[in-house]
Formats: sequence, C-alpha cells, structure tokens
Amino acid sequence: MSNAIEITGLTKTFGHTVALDELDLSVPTGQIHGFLGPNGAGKSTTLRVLLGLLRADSGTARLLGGDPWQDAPSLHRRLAYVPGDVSLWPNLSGGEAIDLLGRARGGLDKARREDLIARFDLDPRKKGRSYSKGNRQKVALIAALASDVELLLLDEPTSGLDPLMERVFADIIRAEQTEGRSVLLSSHILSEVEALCDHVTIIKSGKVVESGSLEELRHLQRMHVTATLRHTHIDIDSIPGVHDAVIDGTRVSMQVDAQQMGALMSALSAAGIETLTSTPPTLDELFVRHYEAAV
Amino acid sequence: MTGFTTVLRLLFRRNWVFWLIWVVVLAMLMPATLSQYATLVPAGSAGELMLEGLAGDPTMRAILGPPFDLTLAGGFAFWRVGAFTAIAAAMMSGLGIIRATRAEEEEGRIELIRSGAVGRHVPLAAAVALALVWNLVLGVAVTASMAALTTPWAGALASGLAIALCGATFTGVGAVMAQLFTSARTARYWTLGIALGGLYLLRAIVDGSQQAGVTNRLLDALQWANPLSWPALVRPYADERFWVLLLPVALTALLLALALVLESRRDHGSGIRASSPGRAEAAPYLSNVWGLAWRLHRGGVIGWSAGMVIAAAGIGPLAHQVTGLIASNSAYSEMLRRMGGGAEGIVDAFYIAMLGILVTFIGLMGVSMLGRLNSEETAGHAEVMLATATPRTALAGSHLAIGGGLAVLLSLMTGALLAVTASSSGTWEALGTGAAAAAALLPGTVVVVGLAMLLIGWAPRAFSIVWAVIGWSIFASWVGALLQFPDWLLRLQPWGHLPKLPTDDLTWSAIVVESIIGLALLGLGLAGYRRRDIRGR
Repeated sequence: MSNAIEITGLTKTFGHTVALDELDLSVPTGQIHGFLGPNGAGKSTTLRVLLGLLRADSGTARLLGGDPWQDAPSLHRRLAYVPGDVSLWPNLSGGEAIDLLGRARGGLDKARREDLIARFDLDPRKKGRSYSKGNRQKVALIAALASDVELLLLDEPTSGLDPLMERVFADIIRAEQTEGRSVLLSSHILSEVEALCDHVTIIKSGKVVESGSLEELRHLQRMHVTATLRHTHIDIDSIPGVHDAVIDGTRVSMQVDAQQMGALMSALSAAGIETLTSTPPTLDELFVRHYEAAV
Repeated sequence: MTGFTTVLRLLFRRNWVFWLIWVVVLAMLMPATLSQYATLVPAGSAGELMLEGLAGDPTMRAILGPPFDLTLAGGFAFWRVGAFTAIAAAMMSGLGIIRATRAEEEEGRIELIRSGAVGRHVPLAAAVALALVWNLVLGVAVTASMAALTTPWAGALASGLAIALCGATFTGVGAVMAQLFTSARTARYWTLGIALGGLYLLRAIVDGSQQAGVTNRLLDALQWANPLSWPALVRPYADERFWVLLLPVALTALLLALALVLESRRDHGSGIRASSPGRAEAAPYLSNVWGLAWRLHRGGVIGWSAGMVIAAAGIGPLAHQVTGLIASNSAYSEMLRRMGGGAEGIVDAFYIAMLGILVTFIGLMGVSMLGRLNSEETAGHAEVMLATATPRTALAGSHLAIGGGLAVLLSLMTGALLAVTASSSGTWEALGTGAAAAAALLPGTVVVVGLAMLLIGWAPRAFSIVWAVIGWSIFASWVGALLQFPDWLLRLQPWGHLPKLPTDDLTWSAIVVESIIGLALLGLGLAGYRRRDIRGR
C-alpha cells in the first residue's frame, strides 16, 4: 500500500535558523501518526511544507502521491488542515467560516456538519471575533472533519479544547481511521498521542529522534516493576539492566531494561514473589528521556 | 495608575514614527503658506480688492471657513491653511488614539499588558496622554514658527492653541469610539467618516450660507455648536478671543471622562453594544476566495463609491465660482494653472487639478484594497484559505480584481461626473471627454497598484513604500504648486507625466510606457507571490 506522506531528507532554513534538518517521515495510508516534539521543534514547519505554503530548500516530500508544492490546489481537495493557532475572520460567523472553508476545499457533507456542530456544542451564529480560542479551534476542526477527505493534517488540534471536547475529538478521530483515512497529528500532549496513535515520530530541532510503533519504542525502554517479596536478602543491584532500585522493607521497586526482564523475574522468584506489578513506560517518560539525552 | 510610565514608554516606542511624521508635516503648513503671502497677495489696492473678493466668496468660505482679517499675513495664513491644519490634527489624533487602544486590544496585545501590574484604565490613559502631548508639540511648533516669522505673538499663540485643542477634541472622540466598537476599522470609520466628515460637511454648509454683514441666529448657533468652527472663532490674528478655547477644553474633558466611564462598563475585548449574531450558514456566494474577497471589501466598495460620487458632484460646480474669483488674481491663477498641468483656461485647469487629486485618492483606495492580501496573510487567514483547493493566483487575483476593477470604474465615473458638473451647460458631450481625461490617467493607477503587488510578491514587509509614493503624490499635487516646487518635481509621481486632457494633446508615449511598466510590475509581483513562502500567524 502506498504512503499518504513520504518525506526524505527535508531541509528548510529561515535565514540562519535551521527549522528542518534532513527530516524523514513516512505515514502509510490508513495510519494515525503522532508527530511529537517540543515547541519550535519544526512540527508546524513540516506541516506547512506539506501544504505547499513553504518551499523546501532540499529533500523530497510526496503527499498522496503528488508534489505538495506543484500540485497544491488539486491535492488540497483530498486533505484537510487544522492550524495550531486558528484565526478567524472577525466579522464572519463560525457557520460561515465552516461553509466557506469546506466549499473552497470542494464541498462538505451537510449532515456531517450538523452532527459535528452538535457534538462539539458550537454556536455557529457567533462572529469570529467573539469566539474563545477553544471555540475557534472547534470551527477549524468542524470545517476539516465535515469534508470527505483522505488525509487530515492536524497541528496541535486540541489546544484550547476542554477535556470533555478532547474526548469527543478522540472518538471522532478513531472513527476516521476505521473509514480508512490517514491522519498526521502533531502534538506535545503525550496522553493524546498515546491514546490515539499507533505510530509515533518524535522530532527535536528539526531532526527525527525516534520513529516507530508505540510497541517498538516501548521495547527499547525500561519497564517499571514493583514487587512485594518473602525474603529480602536479595542483591537487586547485581542483576544486569536494573536501575534506580529502592528497597523499603519487603517492598522493592525499580526500572528495568525491557530485554533484561527475564533475568529479573528469575531473581525475584527465587526471593518469593507475593505481589508483582509491571507497567510500560508512559510516553511522558520516553519524551523526557529523549529531551534529557539531547540536551 | 500602577504601571502608567511603563505603558507610556511602550506606546511611545510603538507609535513615535506615526506621530512624528504627522506633526512635522502639519507644523509646516502655516509657516510655508506665510512665506508665500507676498507672492499670492500683491501689495496695494489690487491685493485689497482681491482679498475682498476672496472674503465674500461663499465657495471659499465653505471650503476654508470664515475669513476675519486677511490683510495680515498671519491672518491670511490661518484662514488659508490654519483651519485645515486643525482638521488634519483632528484626523491625526483620531487615528492615533484608536491605533494605540482598540487596534492593540483587537490584536490581543493590551490583554498582555493588563495581565501585568497595570491598572484597568492605564492603557487608555497612557494613549490619551501621549496623543495630548503630541498635539501640544504640534501647537508649540506652530506658535514658535509663526512667531519666529514675525507675526504678532498673540495670533501665533491663538493659532497653535486652536490647532492643538482641535486635535485634543478628536482624541476624545476617538477614545469614545474605541470603547463603543469592537473593531478598530469600525471605530475609525465612525471617528473620521461620520464624526469628522459629518462635522466638516455641516461646517461647510453653514459657513457657505453665511453672508458678510448679515446675522442669522440659526446659522450662528450651528456655527458655535460645531467643534470644527472653533479654531476660526478664536479669531487668530484678528482680535483674538482666547476664551473660545475653553469650549474645546471642556468638550475634551467631557469626552475623555465619558471614555473612561464606558471603559469601566465593558468587558475587555468587547464593545458597549454586543455584536449581533451572524448567519448559521454561509450564503451561496461565500464559497471561494472570490466570494470571500467581496465579503471583505463590500463595505469599502460602497463607502468609496458613495464618497467619490459626492466628492465629484460637490467639487464640479465650484468651477464657476473659481472662474470669477481667480481671474482677478494672477498669482492664484498661475498657481492653479500649475496644479492643473499648465492649462490655459481656468476652468480646464481647475478640472485637471481636481481630477488629478481625486484619481490619486482612487489609487490610494486600490492600493489599500490590494493591501488586504498582505494583512490577510499576517492575520493567518491566507494560510487557512491556501490549505483549501485555492491557487495562490486566485487569492491574489480576488483582491486585485476588486481593488483594481473598482479603481478603473470609479476613475472613469469621477472624470465624467466632474466634467458634467463643472461644465456650465452640463452637456452629454462632457461625459465622454471627462471619462477620456480620467482614462488617460489610468496608467498611473496601474503603476501604483503594480508596485503594491510587486512589494507583496517580493518584500511584503516593505509594503509601506507604496504608501510613501502615494503620500508624496498627494502632497505634490495638493501643496506642491503653492510651495512653488519646480515643474520637474511636481511631475515626479506616477500620474505626473501622463497627458492632461482636454488641454494636452493625447500623446501615447507616456500612456504606453507607464502601462507597460505597471503591467510588468503586476506580473512580476504575482510571480513572486506564487513562489515565496506564505507567512503564518
């Protein structure tokens, strides 16, 4: 199956600042791909290159089988974009903005529009200038989701949405995937990416730090293990791959490299396990570790 | 008033160029006119006769206000440009105060300031203080220069104060409007279009209807009720009545107090009147950039069209009065001839001069409409539209078509209407010659619009260069002849070298060359816009 997005060696500079530095990214059709990175990492710049708003200095980018710069208008019929900082026309109502953007893309599904307005609980009659940030975000989301497109490019789409609306958003995105749409979701909200995406690319300073499925990334990471033991005369620190062990009476907790899990288990069994919990790392931990490594 | 000095300093830094340019240009008008007095008004009985004619002429009274003592150079200068300076100071103050208050609030910058250790009224108070100080600077500059040019000090002081206080009054008007309306655009429209424009029109009608030596209670009352009449009623250089200055002082205080009360009663970011809800669904026309451009420019299209019809129909008839008045004064007719491209007949010279100014203003309109393409980009709207199936050429073309198309239409209409109302017979023939005269000037409009597009395409941050070009054109055609600029300098502007019909022969060289330059600029600009990065928010 072809890739919805295929980027290789993409470089973009603004004056002396290097925004993207040999960036690679590929999103297979039908995938929800999380695009993670701190502010200023180059997430928005990547999306704006994919939209043909910025011209890349070098490298190649393919979008839905076309060239994002050359074929921009025709490709845009097949995708929808939600910017990170949505700015609406102050004297157009939200409903008018939704219709304008949908129609300019090539048409929108009226029933779906009404459904989305109801689910996001938006008042479409208010003027652009009187919407809050969250409501402006909803307008852009509804305009993007009400069209029948193959690819969604979402730049921090939930910033400004309250938790209830975040859940509505997550439900809708999952439904999009079952209909075979591809999604590139940029975010620095880790829980959101963790809940929605099966594949993740983490970037920093315009470079890919890590990319793969969540399982693959976790494989490289340490598990968090807590256990209550019958015998406490055990030298945990001598087991290879164990870090930050803490012994508190019969209770032990530690981090362990995923590939050393077997060795740890045999050592713990020998000491007589009474209770045992093992949790995979949250994306937060992956994320923080990458930042610390890169600093 | 915590944080007052901090905010004051911030506002000063952001706005000093705006104020400085206005103040310098306005401060020059009176001294410059004074220096031309000897040329314009011949010594002896001929001069007195001419001044009598000027003073008695209702058209002149309508445009400039009532004259009091024109035999003094200072009095003449105040009558000729002093009251106009006061009105321009009002315009400067209205624009300046809205720029520092509502415009900043709309952009969300005041919110940042107010979230710091800054009192509720501090941003407004600081903006007002700054506007008043700049008006004071203007007043002092006028007083000092007029006194230095050896006019009586009392008259110089009265002129300076009258001008500064007219500016102060409109600082108050602008401050109130900025509280009432949520968009700076609307606040500007009400301050300048409705308040200033309306009062000017009223003053022109009242002053034009008054006759020397006849008292009319109603007209007197209307005159005293109009803030734009107050500078003249102070009578600088003609037995000054300084107490009249208490009127603008009181009104300014009242308006500023009102603005503060209004500010206390409204939420940040909103106006006094809640904005009415819009449509839940877009009208069928609003389905692409063309529909959007029409929606964005609709108000401007109607406003400019109405304004140009009124201006052309109002200015044309003045041609008859001008004839009688000016024929008796060679210096004046010479000046008008130079403004009118050296036409022999006074009516033709008047027509050409007025058409030139109106066409320049229409060029300004076209550029400001195309400028929307630029401001839509910095506001982040261009990004959103270009992410839909909208080609860049369509986005640029939509603003270009409305701005350029309207400029062509209004130029032809203004030329025709001006010619018909200026010709004594009002024949249909004038319609054609008038439109032709305007058509001959269109290449200049294409050049400025092309320059604007070139800047948007290649150097959008330098867009204000085109404003400087238009500002110079207006200055050169309006005041250049009065200040006795050499001919080559008067013609050094986009419309300067084009043939002035009906006086000049229809020579094609300038028309063809400027058209080619203009279209080339347009094409280059569009090419640049297609290939450059689009800025986001």
